[in-house]
Amino acid sequence: MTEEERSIDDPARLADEARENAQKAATELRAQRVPIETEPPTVFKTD
Amino acid sequence: MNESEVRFCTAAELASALRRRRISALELARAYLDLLEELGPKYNAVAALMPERALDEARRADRALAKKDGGPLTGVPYGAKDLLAARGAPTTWGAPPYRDQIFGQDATVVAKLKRSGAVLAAKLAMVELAGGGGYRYPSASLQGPGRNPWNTERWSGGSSSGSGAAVGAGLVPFAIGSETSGSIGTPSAYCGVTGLRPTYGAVSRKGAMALSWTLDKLGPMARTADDCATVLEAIAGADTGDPTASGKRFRPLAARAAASAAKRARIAFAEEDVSEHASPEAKRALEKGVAELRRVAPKFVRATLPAMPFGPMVTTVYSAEGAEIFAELIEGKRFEQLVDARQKAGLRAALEIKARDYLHAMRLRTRLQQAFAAMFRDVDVILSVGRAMTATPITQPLDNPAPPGGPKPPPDKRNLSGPGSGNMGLIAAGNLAGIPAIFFPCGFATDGLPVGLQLVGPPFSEPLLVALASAFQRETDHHLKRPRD
Repeated sequence: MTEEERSIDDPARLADEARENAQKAATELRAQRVPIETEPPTVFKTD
Repeated sequence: MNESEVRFCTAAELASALRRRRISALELARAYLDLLEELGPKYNAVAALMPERALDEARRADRALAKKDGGPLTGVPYGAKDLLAARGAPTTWGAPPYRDQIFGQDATVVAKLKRSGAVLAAKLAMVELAGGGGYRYPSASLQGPGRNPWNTERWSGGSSSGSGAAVGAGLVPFAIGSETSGSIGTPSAYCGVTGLRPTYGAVSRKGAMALSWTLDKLGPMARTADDCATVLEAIAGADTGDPTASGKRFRPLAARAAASAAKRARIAFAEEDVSEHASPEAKRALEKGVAELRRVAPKFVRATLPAMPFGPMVTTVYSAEGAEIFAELIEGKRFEQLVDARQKAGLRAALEIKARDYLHAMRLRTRLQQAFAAMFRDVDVILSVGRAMTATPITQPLDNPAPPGGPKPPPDKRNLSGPGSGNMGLIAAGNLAGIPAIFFPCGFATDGLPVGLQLVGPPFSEPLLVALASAFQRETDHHLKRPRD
C-alpha cells in the first residue's frame, strides 16, 4: 500500500467522510419537494 | 465430450448434449468441478466447491434423463453467489465474520433450481456483505479481489464478482447473482457475460442475505440471453417464504412473437451516454454496439430520465436498511473482521441516518416510479451503456481518482442526474424503481476488455428484454468470445 493509500484509509478520516457523505445525501434529498399525498412504494401487484 | 469441449458451452448446448447422451450429467459435473478447482483460484471466483452435492444431483439428473424426464436445466451445472443458502454448506456472505456460517435449508432459488434438475457445483465469491456501507477496494472480500477473466490485473466487478468471473471464464455455464444497485450489471459488463436483473419481487429472496429489503433482487448470469431466460423461468414465481414475491411466472416469448416484438420496440436512447460519458477506451466499441442494436431494433427515439438525485436516493435507502439489518454485527466485536475500512466506516455512519431522510428517499422512489410509468407510455425500453468504462485495476480505489498517471475517475462517479447526464443514472434509477434490466456484451474496448449495453423496461417486461438481447446475439458474436487462460 502506498503512502497516499494509507492516508486515505485512515479510520478517523474515513469516519468523518462517511458522516459528511450521509449529510450531503440528506441535504440533496431534502431539496427535492414531494407532494404531501406521496407514500413510499409498495410491491408490484400482479394480475 | 471432454472437459475442454464442455467449457464455454451454453446451458442450452449442454442440455442438448445431455439429452443426446454425448455426455452424462455425472461426467459433466466432474468436468466442471475440475475446472472450478483448477482455475477458480486464478480468478478468486470460488467460495466453496460442492463436490458431494454436485455428484449427488448429477446422478439424480442422469436417472431423470434416462427416463426422458428432464427439463432444459436437468444435469446442467451452475454456481450460486455465496449470499444464497445451500443446505449444509458454508454461506459466508463474502465476509470474515460469517466464515463459519452454515444454514440447514436451501434458499428458495437453490431449491427451485434443484427441482429443475440443475447441479449446484460451487458457491461463488462476492464482495463482503454485497458491498453494504460502500467499499473502497475490490479486495473487500473473504476470497480477495475478483479477478477478470480477460485480464487478471483488472477487477471482475461487484458485488457478484465470482458469478461474473466464473461465467466469463467458462467455469460454469450460468450462475446466480444478486443486485441491490449494480451488482449483476457491473460484473456482467466487466466480464463480458449476459446478466438479467428481474423485476423486484419476480424472484423469491428467501434464504438470500438481505442487504436492502426493498432493493435486493436475484437473477441469472450466463453466456446468452436465452440461457438467462431458461434460468429465470425456473426461479421466478410464488414463494410463501418471501412476502414480496409477486407470484408472477416468467415465460419467454415464442420465436415469431419475439422477432416481431424486437422490430416494433421503441428504444429510448440518449446519444450522450456514449459520446460524452464513455471512456476513451470504451467509446468506439459502445458506438458500434449501439449501431448493431439499431439494425435489430430500428425504432430509436430520444428520451431521458427525470432529473432526480438517484445516487443519494439509492445510497440512503440501502445504507439505512443495511445498517439496521447488520446493526448487531456493527455494534459487536466481530465487526472489525470486515476487510474494507471504508465499508466499516460507511456502515457505522449509516446507523445514524435519520428516519425522515430514509422515508423521504422512499417517497421519492414513488415519484420516480411514476416518472418511469409516464416514460414507458412513449417508449418500450431504455437503452444505455452497461458501464461507461472497462474493468478497473484491482488496486484502484473505487471511489477516488486514480493515482497520478493512472486511469481517470470512472465516468459513473460523476454527477448522473440533470442536464447532460442522459440516462447514465439508469442503474441506480432502475433499481430504485424495481424495474428489470438485461446486460449483454457488445464488443471490446481498445484495452482488450469487454464492454456491454443494458436495456431496461417496465415491471415484468423481461420477455421483451430477453427477446431484444437474444435478437442482438443472433446477429452478433460478442457473447461467444472466450478469454485465454
